[in-house]
Amino acid sequence: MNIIGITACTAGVAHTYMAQAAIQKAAEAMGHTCKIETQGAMGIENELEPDEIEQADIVIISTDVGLEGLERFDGKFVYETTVSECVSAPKKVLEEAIKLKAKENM
Amino acid sequence: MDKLGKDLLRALNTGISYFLPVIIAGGMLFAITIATGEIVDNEIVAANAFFESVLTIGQAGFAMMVPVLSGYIAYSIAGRPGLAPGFILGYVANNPIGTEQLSTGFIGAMIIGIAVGYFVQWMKSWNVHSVIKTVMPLIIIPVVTTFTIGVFYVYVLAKPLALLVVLLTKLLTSMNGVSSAVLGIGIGVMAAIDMGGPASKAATAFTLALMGEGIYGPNGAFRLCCAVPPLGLALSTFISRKKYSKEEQEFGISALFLSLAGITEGAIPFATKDFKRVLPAIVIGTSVSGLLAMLHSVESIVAFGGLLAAPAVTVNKFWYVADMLIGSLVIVFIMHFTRKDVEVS
Repeated sequence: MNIIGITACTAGVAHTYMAQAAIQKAAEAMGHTCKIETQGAMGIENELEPDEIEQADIVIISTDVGLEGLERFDGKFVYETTVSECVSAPKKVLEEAIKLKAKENM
Repeated sequence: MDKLGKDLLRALNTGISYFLPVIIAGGMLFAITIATGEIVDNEIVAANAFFESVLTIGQAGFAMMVPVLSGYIAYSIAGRPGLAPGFILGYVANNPIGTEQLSTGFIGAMIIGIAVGYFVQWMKSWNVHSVIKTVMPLIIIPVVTTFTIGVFYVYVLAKPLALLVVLLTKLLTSMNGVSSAVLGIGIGVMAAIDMGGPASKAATAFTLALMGEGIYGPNGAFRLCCAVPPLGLALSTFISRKKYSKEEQEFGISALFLSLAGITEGAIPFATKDFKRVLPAIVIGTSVSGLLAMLHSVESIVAFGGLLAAPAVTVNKFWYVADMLIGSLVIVFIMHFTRKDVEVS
């Protein structure tokens, strides 16, 4: 599956990037392709390209703050969660999202 | 209801997230002025004309922080159209207004940010003619929101909020030994428990709100507490070397540098590896620091912690550093006796 997402925490210096790394690692271990944009204190980094959004199956939004550019995901399957959830249990987050996505397709 | 709570929390976090760099920039310039000049009767006296200007720039940062907070709280709820009214009315909250010249500072600005956010969100849902629709975000929403919420604030909200602020200020300035000790422990626990996560940021918001009212003690205590978990763990890797793997010893070095700037996140790599020993150790150590700092009435005027912020400590600089070290040594001590030696493979 193609998984994309955004992470953003309050201070935007540590948890944002830890959540990004955690999801990336977990997704790749499960055999998915994955790209995670970060909206930390430096602003948007590793920005999602329109074609990547087009091809994505699941969008993981992991945030403690308001985000920029959420309208890019209109019509996509979006799974919302918190940053701490992604840092501590990235695999669970992905499994949950995939399960919900499968339900939606039925 | 659950969703409302979540939205509000996210809004406050967004506000804090955008205003942190503002207050850090302003605060550090303050700190530079203090380090080179002196403090007479709680007033900063700059060393010369150059630092006088640096101080003025720093003050501009402090003046901006409250409007940025309310602006981005509104932004989180309502998106871009919330920004302009949020900025303007945050400035209003932070300055005396009305016949009684009331100002409600930080607390007022948070309430205004939320009010503006939901008002704008409601206006965005209006079903208007397509000709008007184009001027909605540029003219109608900012003008109507700023006017309506502004007037509502001056005539309805300002008075009760100002009373609340005065009450809170009185309560905290008249605190005796026991209650300030409890507050100190609370600050320590919140600083350590999630290592820079939402609990720490809630404590940040609380201490900043008090700073807005001229109470600098809890901020001083919180700022030194922020540095304790990474500093304690870093020292632990240096002192109890045998109990850490090579990788963890490297974490120790980066944790030391992060602690200098009061970045609690430096403790996270340790906690992810050994949660059940690290968390109790840092919570206990940091609450000891918090308790001591409140009892020693350490005061800091910047929203920035660690040893690097020591020049901005206006009262009891010595205890700022000493209490930080004492809490860190408590962590070293607990880690030393709870952890086993790393097996040499």
